[in-house]
Formats: sequence, C-alpha cells, structure tokens
Amino acid sequence: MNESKDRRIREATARVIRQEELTEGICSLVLETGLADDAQPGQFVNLYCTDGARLLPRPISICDASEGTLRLVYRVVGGGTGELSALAAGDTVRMTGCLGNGYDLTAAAGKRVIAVGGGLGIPPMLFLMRLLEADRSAGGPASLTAVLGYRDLRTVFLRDDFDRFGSVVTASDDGSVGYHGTVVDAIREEKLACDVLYACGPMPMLRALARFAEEQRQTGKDIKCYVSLEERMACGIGACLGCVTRTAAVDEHSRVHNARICVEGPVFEVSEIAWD
Amino acid sequence: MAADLTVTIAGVTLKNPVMSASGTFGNGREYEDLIDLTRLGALVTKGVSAVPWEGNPTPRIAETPAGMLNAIGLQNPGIDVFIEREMPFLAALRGKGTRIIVNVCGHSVEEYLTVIDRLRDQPVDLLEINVSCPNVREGAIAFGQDPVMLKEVTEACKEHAAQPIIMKLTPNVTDIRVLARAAEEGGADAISLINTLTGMKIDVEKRRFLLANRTGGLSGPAIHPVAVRMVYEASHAVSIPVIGMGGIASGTDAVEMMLAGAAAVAVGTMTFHEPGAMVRIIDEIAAYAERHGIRQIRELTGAVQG
Ligand SMILES: Cc1cc2nc3c(=O)[nH]c(=O)nc-3n(C[C@H](O)[C@H](O)[C@H](O)COP(=O)(O)OP(=O)(O)OC[C@H]3O[C@@H](n4cnc5c(N)ncnc54)[C@H](O)[C@@H]3O)c2cc1C
Ligand SMILES: Cc1cc2nc3c(=O)[nH]c(=O)nc-3n(C[C@H](O)[C@H](O)[C@H](O)COP(=O)(O)O)c2cc1C
Ligand code: FES
Repeated sequence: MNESKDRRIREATARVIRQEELTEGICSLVLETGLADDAQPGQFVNLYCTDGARLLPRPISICDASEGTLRLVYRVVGGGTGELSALAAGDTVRMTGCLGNGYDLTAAAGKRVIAVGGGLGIPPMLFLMRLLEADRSAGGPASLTAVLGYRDLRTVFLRDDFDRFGSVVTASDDGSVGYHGTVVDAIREEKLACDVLYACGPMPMLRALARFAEEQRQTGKDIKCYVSLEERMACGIGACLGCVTRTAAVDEHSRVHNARICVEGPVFEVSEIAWD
Repeated sequence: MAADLTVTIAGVTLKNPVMSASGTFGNGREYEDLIDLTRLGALVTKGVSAVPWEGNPTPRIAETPAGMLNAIGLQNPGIDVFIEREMPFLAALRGKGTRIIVNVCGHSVEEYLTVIDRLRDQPVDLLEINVSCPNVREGAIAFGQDPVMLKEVTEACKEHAAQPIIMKLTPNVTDIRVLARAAEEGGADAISLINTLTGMKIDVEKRRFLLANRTGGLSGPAIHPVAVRMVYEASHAVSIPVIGMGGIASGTDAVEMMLAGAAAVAVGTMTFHEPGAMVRIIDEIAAYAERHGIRQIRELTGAVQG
C-alpha cells in the first residue's frame, strides 16, 4: 500500500473515441484524455454521471492507456454504468484521475510473474501485461503468464488481447473454457511457477490467492501477491474515508487498522490485509 | 461594482459565505490538486477526536436518489496526529485568507474538552462542535438530541475554548428550535445545521442492508428543502448567527439558505459529484448579487419576505 509519490489528480472532460460491446453486457470504452498520460496499471478513474439523481462517481479500472487515450472495460450493472454504455463517439464524460496507487511493477524484476484476472478484474491485467512484456528485455520479469477466470464460455471477453503479451491460461466455473475450476485450481494444476502474483477480481478469488501465497510462504518460498480491492466510494481521493479495508498493521492515515482503498490502495500486498 | 461578499460570524470575517461541510473535504489537502482552496471563505475539517477512532465496518456508503447515505463513524487519527500532520498546511492556507474551522467530536464531555484544550494555541479561527455523536454514558442518544445534555456540553466547551464555538445541530429531533435555544443558552457563539438525517437502504434482491451499520446519514440535494426549513426555524428561535447546510448544489441554493436565515453556508456532498462545486457556487452567488444590485451579501440573511 505504498501511496504513489507523484499523485497528480486532475479533473477532465474526456471525449469518446469509440465504444463497443465485447460480450453481452460488457462494454469497452475508449476515451481521449490527457489523464491517460500518467496512468499506471492498477489505477482507476472516477466517472461522473449526468443524471443529477446519481451523484457519486463510478470507479472503473484502467484497462489500457497510451498517450492521450484511455481504455475502460466495464459491466453494465446499474443506472450509472447504463448511462456510460449509451455514450457514443464524440460524446463527452467528466472524470477525475488517475486514482490510487497501482501495482508495484518493480517487484517483477527478474521474477516469474503471473497476472491473475477474474471476471471484471481481467481488464486491468491487460495494461499490466503489456507494460511488463515491454520490460522483458530491460530487467523486467523472467517469465510472464496470464491466468484468466470466466464464469462460462458466453462471458469470455478480452481473451485474445492477452495473447500478444505472454502465455495465457483460462479457467471457468463450468469448464466451458479452459480449466474447470477457479484460477487458483488452474495455477496449482498447471504447476505454474511464480514468484510474483498480480491479481484483480472478486473477493473469494483474492482470498483464495492470499491463502495460496501464504501456503507458499510456509514452505519457505519468497512470494509476493498483490491484489486490487473494491469498495463503495464517494470521493476517490482520500477525503471521505468511505472506502477503507481492514489492514494487518496500523494504517498511516488514521492510525487505526483501516486504510483507504482509493489512496493507499486499491492494490495491497496480501500480507498487508486483515483477511478475517 | 462587485458586491461585498464578506460575512462575519462571532467576530470572524470570512471573505465569502461559502465553506466546506465537515467530513466531505478531508482536511483540505486531499482536494488541493482539484480546487483553489484560497477561494473558500472557510475550510471546515473532518471531525477530530481525542484519540484515533476507527469508524464503522464497510460498506459505509450508499447512493440514494440525489443524495447518499454515509456511516463512516468518524474515523480519524485523533488530535495529536491532526495537529502534527494537518495543522501546518491549514495554517499556511489561513495565511492566505481562508478561515480555518476545526470540527470536534467526542463520546463524552471530557473527550470534547481534550480536543478543545489541545486547540487553544493553534491557528484556528472557530471550532465547530459536532453533537451528533452518541453520548456513551447516556445510551445511544446523541448529545444534540436532548436540550439538557446539549446545553451542558455547550457550556463546558465554551468554558474551555480559546476560539468562538459553533454548535453543529442534528436534524434528528422533534423540534429544532428547542435545541437551537439550548445551544444559545449554553453560550454558543453560533450554530450550524443540518447534519445528516438518519436513513436506511435495503438491497431487495439480496435482502440485506446496504450499509454494514444498517443506518446512515442522508445528505445531498435530496435533503435541501428540509435543511432550508430547519435553518429558517432555528434562525428565528435564536439571535446568534446560523450556518446553513444540507444539499447545497448551486448559488441559488446558497442564496435560498441565506434568505431562510443563514449568515453563511457549507457545501458537502456536492463536492463528491463536482470537486470544484464550492468555487462555482461562490461565483454564482456573486453573479446573483450583481443581477439583483445587492451591495453586501450579508443583507440576504433572513431576508425572505412574506
Ligand atoms: C477501484 C475500483 C475499480 C473498478 N473497476 C471496474 C472495472 O474495471 N470494470 C467494471 O465493470 N467495474 C469496475 N468496478 C465496479 C464499478 O465501480 C461498479 O460496477 C459501478 O460503480 C456500478 O455503478 P452503477 O451505477 O451501474 O450500479 P449501481 O449498483 O446502481 O450503483 C449504485 C452505487 O453503488 C456503487 N457501486 C456499485 N457496485 C460497486 C462496486 N462493485 N464497487 C464499488 N462501488 C460500487 C456505485 O458506484 C454507485 O455509487 C470498480 C470498482 C472499484 C472500487
Ligand atoms: C461522508 C460524510 C462525512 C461527514 N462527516 C462529518 C463529520 O465528521 N462531522 C460533522 O459534523 N459532519 C459530518 N458530515 C455532515 C456534513 O458536514 C453535512 O452536515 C451534511 O452532509 C449536509 O450537507 P450536504 O448535504 O451538503 O452534504 C458528513 C457528511 C458526509 C456525507
Ligand atoms: S472514496 Fe473517499 S476516501 Fe476513498
């Protein structure tokens, strides 16, 4: 939970370059915005709705970023994401970013790395994989594998985008794509060697990964496991204290055991979190 | 000629009537990149207690139509860390003409007094005492829900405070006028209202409460008409200044609050939707004054007719 040093948070009105539906209910939104320029994998942006009944910002992870463009991939689950899904090329959307700490990519140097994405935790792994792959020759990871978990064949999205950046293993709850089981089952069965895990996905998946990392540590292995957490947010910049998670140690901000996911997170090393 | 936007509360002059609402603006630093803090009439801090408070379990936040529920539980690092870490920044801001108001919370009279005593020699203009906190010795009831308790805590705070005190009232009472008078009788220099209205939200698909705390405080534009009514009633019950808040989203809302009886206003939840909301509202108040040929904005206080 290293608070990123150079936090330059800005508010911007981004222009929609294009939007498409990847699979039923999952949209990919490409935006033109200067916020993209200092985006880091694991960071997120806060999008504001235009319907005045919906006041709070919608946090969405950065799926990819290059100079001036930001890609977001999200599932339509309610009114806010419904509003987003209606945006078309040329429309604008107000947002703040880039928010949160992002993944510590320096931990990957010389290590065997696995990026684990489950469901809507898959998008941020794409940005991470792309940057790590680009680093491969320059002191980056020794090996790079993506493990992606889907519910079933119908909900597969972004799968092919990963091929360019390393080997890809998939898993699904019903076995209709890849391993029949969880991403952790896939890692165990494939006997994927790893020193560093980067993960984003539903809480049960992150818990299972935390247990997996702990087991590995018990056997004397030096393993790092970084997970990205979610919580309801009102400000996204550390002001409201709405978005905290229980931490193992006393947190820097409030000196209790509640770190702010929007500032000290969303990425934490699993040992920083109080999982019970 | 541009209107004079200054207002005076308990002898402290603010360059304009707009301040942040406690708990929605951190301690200002958090918003530094997004808004020019020197534009604000005053900055009101997050509630500070005697020792660190860990707050409530999560989820702490739920969106509601044109509003939100929060059950943060006043998580904060306590007065020692506050003074060491936040005061230098606030002192520098104060040097640039934005007044600093520290919001104080406690579970007992002694806890309020510990914080107030520690702030005696700090560069702070006013103290705002949040009496929506439960009095641990009197069951769950908040200090601000009982006129006798409210008067007592006000008297104690007033006796210890080096700065003028604003008692921040809770709207979760039968008759706000009774509480406003109790604060005035206890020696309050000003009152502010409204704090959040207790609410509840249930996820009907999961049949679960949205907030871990079950209940939370409702804020935002949804509560604005209730806040205007309460500011009107309270300001007519006392002769000390009233700071009005609750759902202010525009210059029009701010002016409305002043016409109802507020000497100054605070903006909270709207900042979550639009980080620069306060600056826009200040500009809109100035534009209103110009449009109506108002020379001094303080003329608006209580100036509703009929
Ligand atoms: C750091 C972070 C990154 C995220 N990244 C992505 C992403 O890349 N893709 C994606 O599809 N989703 C992502 N989410 C979840 C996304 O924010 C919610 O699905 C979205 O806010 C729902 O808004 P709504 O109005 O459609 O739904 P509603 O359920 O109507 O929203 C009501 C309120 O609850 C909040 N809310 C609802 N679900 C969540 C949730 N899971 N987490 C936090 N707040 C929630 C909303 O922001 C809103 O304030 C992320 C959440 C966080 C905290
Ligand atoms: C997230 C949040 C945290 C708050 N924290 C405090 C607090 O620490 N002390 C306090 O006196 N009021 C607190 N409040 C109440 C606000 O200061 C304000 O009275 C209320 O939200 C109504 O104004 P609004 O509708 O403009 O937000 C908080 C409100 C919110 C939404
Ligand atoms: S969302 Fe406000 S502190 Fe994180």
